[in-house]
Amino acid sequence: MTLAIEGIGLSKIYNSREKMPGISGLWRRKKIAAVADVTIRLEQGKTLAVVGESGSGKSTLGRLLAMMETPDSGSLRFEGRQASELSRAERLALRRRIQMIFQDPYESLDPRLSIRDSVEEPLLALRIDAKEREERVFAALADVELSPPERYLSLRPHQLSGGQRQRVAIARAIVLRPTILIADEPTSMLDVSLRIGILRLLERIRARTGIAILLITHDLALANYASDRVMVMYGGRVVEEGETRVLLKDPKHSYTKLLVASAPRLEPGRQRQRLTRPRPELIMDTT
Amino acid sequence: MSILEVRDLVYGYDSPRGFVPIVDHVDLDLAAGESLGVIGESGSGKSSLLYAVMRILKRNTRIASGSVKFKGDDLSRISAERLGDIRWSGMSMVFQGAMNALNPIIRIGSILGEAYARHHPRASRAEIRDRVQEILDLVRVPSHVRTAFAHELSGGMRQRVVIALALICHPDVLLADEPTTALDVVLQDEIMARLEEIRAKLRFGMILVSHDLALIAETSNRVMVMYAGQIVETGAVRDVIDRPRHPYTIGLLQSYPSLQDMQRVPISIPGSPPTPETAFRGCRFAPRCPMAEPACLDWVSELSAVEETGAAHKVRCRRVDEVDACAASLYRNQRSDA
Ligand SMILES: Nc1ncnc2c1ncn2[C@@H]1O[C@H](COP(=O)(O)OP(=O)(O)O)[C@@H](O)[C@H]1O
Ligand SMILES: Nc1ncnc2c1ncn2[C@@H]1O[C@H](COP(=O)(O)OP(=O)(O)O)[C@@H](O)[C@H]1O
Ligand code: SF4
Ligand SMILES: [Mg+2]
Ligand SMILES: [Mg+2]
Repeated sequence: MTLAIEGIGLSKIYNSREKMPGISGLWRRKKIAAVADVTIRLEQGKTLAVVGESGSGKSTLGRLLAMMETPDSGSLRFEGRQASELSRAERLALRRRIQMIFQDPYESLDPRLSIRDSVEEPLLALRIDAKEREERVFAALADVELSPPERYLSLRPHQLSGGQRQRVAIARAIVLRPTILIADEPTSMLDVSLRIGILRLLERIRARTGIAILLITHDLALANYASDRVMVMYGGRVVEEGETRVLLKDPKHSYTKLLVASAPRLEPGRQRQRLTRPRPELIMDTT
Repeated sequence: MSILEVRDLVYGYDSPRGFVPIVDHVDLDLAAGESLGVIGESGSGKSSLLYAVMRILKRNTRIASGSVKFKGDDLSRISAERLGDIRWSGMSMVFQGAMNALNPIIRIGSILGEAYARHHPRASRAEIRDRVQEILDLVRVPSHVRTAFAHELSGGMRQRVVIALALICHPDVLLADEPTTALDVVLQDEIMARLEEIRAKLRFGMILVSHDLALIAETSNRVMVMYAGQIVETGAVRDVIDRPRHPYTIGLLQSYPSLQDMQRVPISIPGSPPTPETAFRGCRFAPRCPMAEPACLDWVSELSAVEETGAAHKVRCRRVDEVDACAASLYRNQRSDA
């Protein structure tokens, strides 16, 4: 087992405001532990799913791993090295090897750029010549099954379907040949009928390149289909973790049970369980 | 008796090349208190169908033919004033994405109060207050939210407010366009449970539009499957889900990842849905259909009753009798495409 990245005891605290009930215009400040003491290990060639409802800290954890944010405590280790010990140049190179894709491909694609320019853009910072750039853009588009690539090169994002746009966003991420891909709700804006296609695509990329994938989702059925391990987050903490199939078949934590019980089913007879959420210890202090 | 009766509705827009139908010859009946689901991929015309039923016509669009009757009144033949009344207190709509379109500078209580007052011009301030409080209680929004602005609320809270807004005049029919699509599973389940409770209490009929079949399976008595502006299958929810007869419905069902049946590997329907300007020939699903034959391209499609399940179950496919035998192997060995 080779670790692609390891986060140990990660915490991230945000300053936030909350409206005072009843009193208009009055706010109270509070600190939110968006991520609280989370240890996470991404293995090369494996997919780890992070599940939990909105606000449970999944995206923040993803950004911490992608080094888009600095943790307030805890540390990142990458190929056995402490991220904080790296030189500036090393950090920069490292950040390129961790790519992120998001829920809304509209946001990550510049509407003015053609598909070719969008996918090529991340390569411009590297010292590679135009010919190789072109080859890599073609290869990336073929990898995401936008074929033949020629048909898509000059199109703009608005001319594509939602599923195609997400494929372009993935092409843009993999064109840098990352070793870690963090996919934050990559299918939640898409039709159910298109979701599996995107996940299967990620699956194939992973099988071929040995990339490690962190799949962030609130849909347990998707996590079930597309991950080896799953981590359940609630209130910034990991409440349960394990092998996907084992954990989802027999969830132990009451919050995981709530997640499983909340998903609608095609089969008749689901009881809406009146499970209550455990109280998250989100608020650190109030001033 | 149907409270809502739609016949042969054609809705679309004029383009330089002629009229383009977005909703094409759709029939729909809703009994009082009934819940009907409408399912289909994005672009199949679900939202447009609701707009056409409400006669909320976007600038470039028009209803080319067909009729919409609400409690026996043909909506195309009544005065604008009467239509305005029907639109909130007869039939109201939760628009797709409405939770992000609440007026940002008016307090939630006033948004709700104004909507009520507009249709009850003689209502006293006290009555308006009571009505707003009552509806907020129903959707379980804490009363301090009355003084809040939309941006101060969480997504789940805003969606409840939007539902409250649609229900404040006690409509007989609620048209709900993807009311929970933007929410996570836990919130979605809470809101749907709430909506079902309110429906049991106030007994309004509902048309629920969604791309999530399981959500419709749990909420609706009947379902209509839409593809490229047409109904391709309709019937009792259990008939359609347990014995689907249209290759498209089968694709939607097989693409659904299930937590219950972990062995089943979901498929994806190849290709993507067509736009209304596509020059169709024969069956509109043919380019994506694993059972398509050359003859499907010459077929003048029609919706016909399925023999085994009865007259209420209808399908638009010329190979309907063979679908059962092929269902299990359809879509296997397919390459996924955008
Ligand atoms: N930049 C930020 N500033 C303040 N609070 C934030 C910020 N980002 C996230 N949060 C808060 O942190 C918590 C976790 O958020 P997030 O990581 O986005 O969760 P998820 O992705 O699971 O929905 C939420 O309460 C959110 O409001
Ligand atoms: N006013 C309009 N003018 C032109 N095209 C439209 C208009 N409204 C909808 N369409 C097109 O009609 C199709 C159906 O749209 P819509 O009703 O929103 O589908 P759904 O709700 O099923 O996703 C889409 O291809 C959409 O682009
Ligand atoms: S008519 Fe032909 S192409 Fe259309 S759904 Fe039936 S089998 Fe497929
Ligand atoms: Mg998130
Ligand atoms: Mg729609």
